[in-house]
Amino acid sequence: MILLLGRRLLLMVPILLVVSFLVFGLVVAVPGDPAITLAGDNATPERIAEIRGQLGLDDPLAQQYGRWVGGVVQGDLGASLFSGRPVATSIAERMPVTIGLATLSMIVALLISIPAGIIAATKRGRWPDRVATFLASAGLAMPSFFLGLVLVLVFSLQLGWLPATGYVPFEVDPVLWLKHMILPAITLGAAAAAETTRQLRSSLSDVLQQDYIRTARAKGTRAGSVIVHHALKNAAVPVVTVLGFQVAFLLGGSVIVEQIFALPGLGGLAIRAVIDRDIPVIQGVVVFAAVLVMVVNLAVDLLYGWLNPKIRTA
Amino acid sequence: MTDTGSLEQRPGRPLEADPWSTFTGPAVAADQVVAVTSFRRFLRRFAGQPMAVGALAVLVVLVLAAIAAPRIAPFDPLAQDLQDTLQGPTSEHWLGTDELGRDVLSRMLFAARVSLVAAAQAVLLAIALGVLPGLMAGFLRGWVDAVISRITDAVMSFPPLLLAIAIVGVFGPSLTNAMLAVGVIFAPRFLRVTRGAVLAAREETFVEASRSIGTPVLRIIATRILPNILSPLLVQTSLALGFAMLAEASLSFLGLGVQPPDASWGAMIGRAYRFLAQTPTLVVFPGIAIAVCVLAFNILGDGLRDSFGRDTRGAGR
Amino acid sequence: MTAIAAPATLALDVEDLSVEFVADRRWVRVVDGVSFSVRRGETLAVVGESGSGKSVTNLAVMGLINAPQGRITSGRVLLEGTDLRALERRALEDVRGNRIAMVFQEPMTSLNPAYRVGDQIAEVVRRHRGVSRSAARARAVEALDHVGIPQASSRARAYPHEFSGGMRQRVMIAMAIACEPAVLVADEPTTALDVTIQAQALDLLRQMRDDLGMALVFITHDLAVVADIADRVMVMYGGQAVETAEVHELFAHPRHPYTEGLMRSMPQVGLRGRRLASIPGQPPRPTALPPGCRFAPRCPYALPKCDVPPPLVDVVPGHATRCVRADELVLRGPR
Repeated sequence: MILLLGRRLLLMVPILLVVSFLVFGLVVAVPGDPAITLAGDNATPERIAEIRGQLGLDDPLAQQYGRWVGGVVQGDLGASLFSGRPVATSIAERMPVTIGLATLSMIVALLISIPAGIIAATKRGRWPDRVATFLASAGLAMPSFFLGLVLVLVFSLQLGWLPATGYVPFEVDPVLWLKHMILPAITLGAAAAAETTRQLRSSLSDVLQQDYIRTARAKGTRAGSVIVHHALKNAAVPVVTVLGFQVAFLLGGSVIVEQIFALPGLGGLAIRAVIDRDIPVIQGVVVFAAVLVMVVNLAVDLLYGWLNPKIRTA
Repeated sequence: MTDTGSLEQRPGRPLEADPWSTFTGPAVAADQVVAVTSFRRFLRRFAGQPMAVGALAVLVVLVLAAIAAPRIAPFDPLAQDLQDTLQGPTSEHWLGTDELGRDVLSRMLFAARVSLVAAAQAVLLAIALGVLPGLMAGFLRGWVDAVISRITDAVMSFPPLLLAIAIVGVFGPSLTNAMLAVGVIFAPRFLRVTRGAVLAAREETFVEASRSIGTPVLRIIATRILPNILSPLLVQTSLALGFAMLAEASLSFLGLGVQPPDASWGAMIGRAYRFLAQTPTLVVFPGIAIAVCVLAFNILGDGLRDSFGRDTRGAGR
Repeated sequence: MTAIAAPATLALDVEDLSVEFVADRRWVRVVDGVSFSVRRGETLAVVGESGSGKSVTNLAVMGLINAPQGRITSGRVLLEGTDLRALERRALEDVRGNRIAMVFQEPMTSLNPAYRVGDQIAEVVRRHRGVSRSAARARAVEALDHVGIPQASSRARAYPHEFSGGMRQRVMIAMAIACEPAVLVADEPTTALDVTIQAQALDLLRQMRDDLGMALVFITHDLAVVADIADRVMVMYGGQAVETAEVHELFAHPRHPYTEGLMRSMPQVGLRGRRLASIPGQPPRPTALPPGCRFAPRCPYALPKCDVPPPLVDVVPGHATRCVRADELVLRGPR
C-alpha cells in the first residue's frame, strides 16, 4: 500500500511540472502589457517601466518561471494586481465555501445515484430502468445554470421554502448554512448524479452477469446482500474513477453556481479576476484547483487498492 | 443423407459396418451464413433505435431552422420595442419579448446559429488538436506516448470550466476565445479515444501483418488504422458537441462568451435571469432549447456507439 | 453420518422439469420434461454437448433461473422430500448452499475477487448455521483443510487471485461442502483445469461424496470422466434426456445413436494421433428444433419414421432410451 502511494506520488511529479508550465504560460500568452493595465489610463512611460521592474517583467522568462514556482511551492501565489492582497490569503478565505459546496454536491450526487443506479441495473430493460436512464440523460443535458434558476423559481420565488441567494458560514449557524447551500448543492450535484447513475448502472449490470454473483446466489446469500455485499464493491471501481473526474467538474461548475446563488467562493474570485484581467489571481485559482483535483485523484487511486486487492498486492 | 448404401460405391476402401465413417451430417442451412456488410449492419442497428433516430431528426430540424433563421424568423432579432418589454408568450410574440422588447422566438432562432456553429468550431479544434498526437502516442508508443500522455493528464487535471475561464480571462472575453478554450479542453478526450483505438487496432493481426511485410507507417495509418478509429471518433464527436454546447452556454451565461448584441442561448439566459421573478419564460425557453439539443447529441452519440459496437450479446446458456 | 443410516431415500428427485428462456421476444423451451433422481452416496453424471440443456437443468434445480429472462414451466424438484419449487424465495435461499450446493465450471471467475477466500467460505457458514464470526472462520479453515489446501489457516486470508486454477476449484468445493449438503451439483468442475489437476479434482469430489455421504450430480461433456466417477448416467440432447442407464450398462450396451456418437469421439488409450471422430453438424438451436427425433438430422441411422417425436422408454429395467430404432440397432461402446 505504501509502495502504491509512493508510485502514485512519483507519477504526479511530471504532471505537476506540465501543469506549472501551462499556468505560467498563461502569463506569457497575455496579449498586451499588464503593467500598462495596472498603471491606469494616464500613466507616464517612466511609471510603466517602474511597474514592469517591480513585477520582474523584464527578467528572462526562465528566471520569472523559477521565481514563480519557488513562490508557489512555499505557498506564495503572488499578490493581486489590483488590491495587492496575497492571492493565497484570498483563496484561503474563499476555499471553505467552494469546498463545502463541492462536498455537499457530491453527497447529493451519491444519495441520488446509488439507489438510482442499483434500481436501473437490477430492473434493466424494465420501466424503472427506463425512467432512471432518461432522467440521467436529461440531468446531463441540463445546463447547471438553467437547473439552478428553475430551482430558485420554484423553491424560493414560488414556494418560499429556501433562500434564493446569500451565504451563512457553517461555524455561525449550521442550519442556516445548509438552508443556503441546499439549492446550490442540488444544482451542482445533478450532473454528477446523472453521470454516476449511468456509470453505476452499466458497471453494476456487468458485475451482476459475473460468475461469482451466481456463486453467491448458489450459496444462498440473500438477494439484497448479493447486490450490496458482492456486487457493489466490484462495481465501484469504474464508478470511483468517474467520481474522481466529477470532482474536477464540480470545481469548475461551482463557478457558475456560486454566481447564480451569490456565494462568496473561489468561483466569484475567478470571475472577478477574469473581468479585471488580474493574472496572478487567475493563476492562483487555477493552480489551486488543479492540485486539489490531483490530490483527489490520488485518493481515488488509493481507494482502488482497497476495492481491488489485485492492485494492492501486485 | 441417410443413404448408408453409398458405402458400397466406394471401391478400394475396406468396408466397415460403421455408418458414422461415411456420414457427413446435416446440410448447413443457407440462412445460417448471412453476410452483412458492416455499414448495412450499422444502418440496420441504428434504425432499430427509435430514440437515436428521433434525436437525429430533432438535430436535423434544428440545423435547418438555424440555417433558415433569416427567412422564418417573424421579427428582426435586434428590433427593440420599449413599449412591449418582458412579455410572456402572446399571439404576436409566440415566446414573448425580452427586456428591450425584442422577439424571443426570433432571437432564439438566430441564437441557434451561434450556439451550433460555436459548438462545431470548438469540436473541430478539439479534433485537430487531439487526433494527431493520439495517433502518434498510440502508434509510436515509447517516450512519445509517455510525454503526450503526461501532457494530457496535466490538462485533464484542470477543472474544465475553470481552465476555459482562465483562458478567456487571459485573452479577453469573446466567442472566438471561448470556443478556443473549449476546444483545448476537449482535445484530451479525442486524444485518449484515438490513442485507445490505435492501441486496439495495433493488436489486430492485419496491422501486425502489414508491419511485418514493411508497409510504410503512414500508409498503415491511412489504410488500416484510420478506418478503425472512425467509429469511436464519430461517437465521441457527437457527445463532445453536446458538451461543447453546454460549455459555450456556461461561458456566455457568465458573460465571457458571445458579446451583445449577438446572443447564444446561454447568453440569453445570462441576461434574462435578473428578470426571473417577472418573466420566467425568458429563462425557460432558451434553457429547454439547450437541454433538448444537448440531450439529442448525447442520445445520438449513445445510439451510434450501440450501432457500431461489436455484438456483445451472449447467445445464452 | 446420518446418510449411511438411510441410504435408500432419494436425496434429490426431479420430475418432468421444463425450463423456458426468452429468445427473439418469445418463450423457447430449452429443457423439456427432464426427470432424474440421486441417492446419498451415489453419483449421477449428466452428459451432453454444450447447449444440450444439462447446465440449465441443474441451474433450475438450484432455483437459479431468473425472471424475466427464464422461467420453469413445469416439474417438481424434491430435495430430501421438500419440493423446492413450492418454496418462497427466502425459504429457497435458506436451502441453497445449505442442503444443496453447487460447484461451477470456471474456478477463475467463480470466486469474488474482492474478498478473502476464507471470508467467502465463512459467509456461507454464518448464513446457514448462524454461528459467530470466529466460529465461521474456524469452520472455513477446517473446510479448506478438508479439501487439501496446505496451510489452510494462512491461505484463508489470501485473495482468489493468489491461487492457481486447481486450488481455486478446491476453494469452490470447500465452500460447497462447508455446510455438509445432502446434494452437491458439480457443473463441469474439471473442464477448465489442466489434465493432471483434473484427476486430483475428481478424486477430491469422490472423497467428499464418500466422507459426507452426499449425492453428487456431475455435469460433463466428457464420457471419459463419466466412466471414472459415475454410478449412473443421464445423456441429454436438445433439452431432453435421450438415454439413462447404470454406468457399466451404458458403456457396454449404448442404446441411443447419440450416445454411440459421443463414445466414438472419446480419446482412446493407445490410439494417440488418430483423428478424433466427432459427430457431424451442430446441436439444434432451441428456436429451431427438428419436428421428430431431435437427433435425427445428425443421426446416420435415421429413417423416415424418426420424424415422429420418440418417447423415452425402458429397453431393459433401469435402462431407458429415446430412440424408435433401439430394438433393431446394434450399437457399440468405446473400442
